[in-house]
Amino acid sequence: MKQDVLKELRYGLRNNRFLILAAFMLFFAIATPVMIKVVLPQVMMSQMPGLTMETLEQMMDMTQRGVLLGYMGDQFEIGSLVIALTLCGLLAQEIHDNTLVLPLCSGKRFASIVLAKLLVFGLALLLLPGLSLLVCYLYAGLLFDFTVGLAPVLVSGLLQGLFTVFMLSGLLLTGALLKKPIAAGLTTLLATYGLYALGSLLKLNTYLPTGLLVEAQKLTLPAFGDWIGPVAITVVGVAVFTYLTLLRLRRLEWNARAAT
Amino acid sequence: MIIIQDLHKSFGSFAALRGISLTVRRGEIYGFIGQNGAGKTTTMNILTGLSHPTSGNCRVNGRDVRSIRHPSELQIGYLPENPAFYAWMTAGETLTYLSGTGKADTGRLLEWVGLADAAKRKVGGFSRGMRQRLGIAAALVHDPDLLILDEPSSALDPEGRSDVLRLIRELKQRGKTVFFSTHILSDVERVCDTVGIIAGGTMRLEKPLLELQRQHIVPVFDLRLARPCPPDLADDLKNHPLVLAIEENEDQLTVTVRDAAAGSVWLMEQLATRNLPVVSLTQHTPTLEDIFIREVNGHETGRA
Repeated sequence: MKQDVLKELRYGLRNNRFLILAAFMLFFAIATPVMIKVVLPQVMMSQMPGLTMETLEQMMDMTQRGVLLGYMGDQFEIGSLVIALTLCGLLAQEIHDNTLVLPLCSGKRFASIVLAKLLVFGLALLLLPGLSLLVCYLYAGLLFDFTVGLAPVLVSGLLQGLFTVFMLSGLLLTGALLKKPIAAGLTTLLATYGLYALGSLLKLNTYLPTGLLVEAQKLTLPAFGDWIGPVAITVVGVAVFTYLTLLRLRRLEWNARAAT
Repeated sequence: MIIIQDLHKSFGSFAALRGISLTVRRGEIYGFIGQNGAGKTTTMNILTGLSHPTSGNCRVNGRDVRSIRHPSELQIGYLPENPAFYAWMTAGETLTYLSGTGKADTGRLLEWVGLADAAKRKVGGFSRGMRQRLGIAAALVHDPDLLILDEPSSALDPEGRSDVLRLIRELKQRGKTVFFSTHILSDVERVCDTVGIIAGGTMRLEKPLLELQRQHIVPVFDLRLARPCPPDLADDLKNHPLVLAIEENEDQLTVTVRDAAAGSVWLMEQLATRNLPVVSLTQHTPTLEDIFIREVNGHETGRA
């Protein structure tokens, strides 16, 4: 297991996976406050002559809270895309390229391989949204006012992070099922957006992992009864997806020639 | 070390293996030869536990491949036809990762396969030959007694091939059993103890190399006569106990005999008796390639 964890760390570092994820999240964490404070008002005022700052503030939530909500929206919409495309090959590429054949014959266990991926990239995805939300919180606080407490922001970051871990387990499962990185990434992305849309339409988010995002967007310290449902369903979801991934890997035929 | 009996493997309606049987004994080098698409890699995938047979028995190191839960339970070293490594890992890191403990003597292994100087280079920059050698080192990382090598010398330049064959010979000297597939027949002649020929998913032949040479690699005389062969010459000669086969073509005669010395004397006597002057006489022995082509052609003729 230790060697598998080391391998995933090296993969993440040498193939810039961590860098891509961190760069994207931090870029939006810094860009969103600037956009709302400077760029957006200038654009709107140039498009709509006579528009005053006061009117604009009535139209938009130009506070630290508004910035954080805007950032979290971007994080879900664009961040999910970046996560899916950056990590879609985590398992699918390995199956496609037969790079797991030698490890398997050398005694590597499927569970060790998959759990190492989940641990290394899961930890990164659990922490990165919180870290970037903290950066956004501080910068938005400097540009506007500190109107939101630090603790709710950290909790929101963690809830968002947990949702991306769920997404990661989905990427591993679709990777094992489809064996093609892009197909795995797009399928997971569609399922993520679909789940959120379904949860919002049918008001089912409390019973779905997407409930984590709803709770995160409240930017308050959630009551136990509010977060326990989505957190529990997400943890169970990650466990079930991981189990299904392992089941699928055990049934796969390895070292097959690529279809020509 | 390996016992296969009546092994079948189908992919949908396509039967890749149609009842092959073979035996690999401890300490021998077994050359598994066949054309591309004959079923070599499919057989090897089953032997390594990477693929599941449709029917038949297959025991590796005393374990039934159907009963294992993980390929590593077979305790083999495996080199795939195109060993896929992580391009971003160095050779040393690759072996350490595959060893699983971080305590393997990867330096000694890399030195043995001639990659000591490349230990800290990323595998992505390796040539095909270097990757094959690293693959052999990877197969040996747990020091298994049985090695299964899929086309280890294919697509290598002559020097690379020679290196790989030297490594295989050294493995035998260390007491390892090696089962390797190839379509390069001269490689088989250079290192193997036993040869198995597969064609169209069936075993065409399985014999110790020496026995194969004794039985199949018999002397052949090519004669050129001063005038065209008389019509009854081939029929007259073919029934003699020394003659295995005879072909005539105008003034040329090809005679396969059991014994080179007795055959040449007898043949010259027969031609002298018939007053047929000989312009030239050359002797050659069929190679493994001739046998292989004959077996494969036999299969294709049979199939047609």
